[in-house]
Order: sequence, then structure tokens, then C-alpha cells
Amino acid sequence: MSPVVAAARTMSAHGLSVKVPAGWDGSIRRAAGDPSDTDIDDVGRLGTTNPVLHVASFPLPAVRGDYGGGAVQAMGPNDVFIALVEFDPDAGSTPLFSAPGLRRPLRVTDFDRSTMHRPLPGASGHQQFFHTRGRAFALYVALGAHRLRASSVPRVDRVLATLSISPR
Amino acid sequence: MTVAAALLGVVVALLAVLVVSLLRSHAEILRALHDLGVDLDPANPAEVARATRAARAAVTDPSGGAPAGTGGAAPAGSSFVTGDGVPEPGDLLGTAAFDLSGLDPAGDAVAVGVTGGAHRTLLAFLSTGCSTCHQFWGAFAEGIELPAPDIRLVVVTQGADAETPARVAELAPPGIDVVMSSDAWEDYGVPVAPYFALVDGGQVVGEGAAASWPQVVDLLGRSLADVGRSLAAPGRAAPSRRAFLTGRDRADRVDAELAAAGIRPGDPRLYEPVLDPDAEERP
Repeated sequence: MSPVVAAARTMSAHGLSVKVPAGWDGSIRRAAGDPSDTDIDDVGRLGTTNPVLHVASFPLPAVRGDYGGGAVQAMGPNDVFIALVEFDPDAGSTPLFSAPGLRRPLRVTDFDRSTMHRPLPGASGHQQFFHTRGRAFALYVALGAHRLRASSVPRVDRVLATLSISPR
Repeated sequence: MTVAAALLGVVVALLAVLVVSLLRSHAEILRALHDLGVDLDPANPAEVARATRAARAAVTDPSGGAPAGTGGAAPAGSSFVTGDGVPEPGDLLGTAAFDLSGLDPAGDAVAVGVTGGAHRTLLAFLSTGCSTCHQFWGAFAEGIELPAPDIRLVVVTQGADAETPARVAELAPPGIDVVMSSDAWEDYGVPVAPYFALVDGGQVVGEGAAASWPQVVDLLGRSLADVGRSLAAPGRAAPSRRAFLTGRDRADRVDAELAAAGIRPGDPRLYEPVLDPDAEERP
């Protein structure tokens, strides 16, 4: 008998859409005063008020930072965390966000232990900035174990393949 | 002969490598399909569950009478009748669980994975209207102690079609996930609010209605004990039936029940002679 596999769920809000794999957590929300681990100089005291998309292979705590502060600490070796943080549209014209669109597929060489926003033993991260459809984004991905990146990165990339961004 | 044996060994080794590679490739494909939510079974589990409940309801009450949970409606062939407001027991036990998807009280999109991972999820189906639910809203806001650290509490209300998001936001306990989803209520066949379902390993392992948090913990503990599981995290894997009935688990359970009754080791009541009530009637 073939196993029954739970279906992925499509999550849509604020012009963003992504398929959340079965058993994973996700959210697309505006961080209205949530604790943010983004530098104050970048986004202000309360963090970005633009949409923030999170997808994770582990239970996400209700209160967490835009870049997974308070969440990534709970990652297991096989876990992954994806954050897509939107910035003000004006940022799209700056050199940092000059890349046209999300660059994928992600490669295992894109990940580095030093890219973690908050250093965690064994973990690694990847970050890229881009603009598309008049919107500016930062993509941040954290892996629970850098040594397992060969199997974790394709899982992240399959989620990113379902990401859709509409004009605001 | 030696050369032939060596050649045979090399061939076997190559075949072994080939088999391992194929298995690994197969596992990668299965994982990719799983992550993408590709259903390997022709029937979607949510549709199967809904169809099963619909069929059960049709058999139970072909006249379209009282739904499950309103009391008094006993399934055909059943020997029990539930009281008013008491849902029929065990309707969900052992059935497949469903991931949650809906909106949070702020109107943002949220998805909660229930079917994956090593954790257990306690789903609290609450409404903003029922008075009993308000006890739970209040208790959750004040902070409750979960029975085990691996249990994640998620409050599920109906969607904006049946609830007022502002009212849900007002009651939403800080630090606890709240999902507004009428689909979830339908998927789990929630008969009444408040209602609780404990999910473990992709299956509903405990369910029921209760009026207070201690009752919920007791209800789920009993429900799990019936199938040889424990609500506590350590060693929660189901023991063998033999161990459950005759082994150390049984002794521990008996000790716990005696302790709960105030009977501890050395208690004289443990050494009272066993009286045979039929002895005097015998010739």
C-alpha cells in the first residue's frame, strides 16, 4: 500500500506566496513592533514594518525576530530556516539590492558558518539581497548543521522554487 | 580459482554500491516529493477523513437529526447514548492528523506543521463565544504548565467567516500560536467547543472535551494510557502489550494509583487479610 503523504499548503499574503512543505511551519506577516534582530540603523527601533516571510522545518515560536532570533536556536541538525524580509521600495535602487531577482538554485558553497546572524555551533547561513517587481528583499537561510548542507540545501531550494512575488 | 573468486568479489562489491546508490536516490526522490506535498495515495487524507465522517453521520442519523456532540444521538448499533452537550468519544483516535493553515488574529498568513517532527501538538479548538472556552483563554493567558516539554500548544478558532478577528486578537494568549481556520475544524471533525486533540507522529492519539485545564491533562493521560502510552515525555514510546499488562509499567502504575489514594509502602491496609465474602455462605 502506498503511504499517505500530507499535502503542502500554499501560504499567501502581502503579495507573497509560497508552498509550505508538509509538517513545516510558516508565516507571512508584518512585524508590527516584534522584537527584531535587524540593526537599528537599517530599519528603525521596531524593526521592519514590511512583510516578513518565514518557513521552517521545525516549530517556530510565536515570538521571534525577523531573521529568526529566538527560533534558530531550536534548530536540529536536519532543520532549516528561511526568512524573506522586505525593505522599503526605495532600497531597491541602492547598490546592495541591485541584483535583479532571487538567485537560485542555491548551492552548498553559498553557505558559510560566518553568515549566521547569531553564531550557533555547527550551523551555517546564506544571505542575498535583490529587487524584483518594484520591491526590495533580503533572503536569509540558516542550516542546523553545515556538515549536512548537501542534503539541506536542496530542500531549501525546493521551497524557494515555489516562491512567488507580486507587485505591491 | 583465486582469480575467479576475486572477480566475483569485485562484482558483488560493485552491485552493492549500485544498490546503495539506487536506495539513496530513491530516498531523495521520496523526500523531495514529500516536501512538495505530492500525494502518493490517490486519495487526499483530508478528503478521506471528511468522506468517512460524512458516511458515518449518514449511517448514524439518516434522518439528518442531531449531529455528533449534541448528545442523545447514538451511532447505529452502539450501546451507549451520550448526554446533552457531550460528544461521542473516540471519533478521531488513530486517524491521520492534518497540518494547519489559516490566518493569525492580525490577519497575516500562518501555517503550523502538525504532522512532522519529533514533537507532539496539542490542538485547543476554542471559540470566542462559549463561556467554557473563556476559562481556557484566561488560563492560557495566565500561563499553564504543559504535561511534557515536547508538547506544543496551538489554539485553533474558526475562520473569519465564523469568528471576529478583533475578538480573537483580544483573547489571544501571548506567546501561544493562534490559527483561525474553519478548514481545520472540518478536517478534525470538531464536535463542540472547547475540544482538544493531541497529535503524535501524524496521528490523533488523544481527544476529548473538558471544562478546565486539569481535566484536559487528565483526559489525555487516560486516553494515552488506554493505548499504553504516557503523557510525560520520557519513555513515551508504547511498550509491548506484555510489558504493559504484566511488566514494570504495570507495577509503576499500581504504585502511582495507590500513592494517589494515600496508600504508601508500609501502609497497614496493604497487609489486611483478604476476606472471602462467599466463605460464610459455603456449607
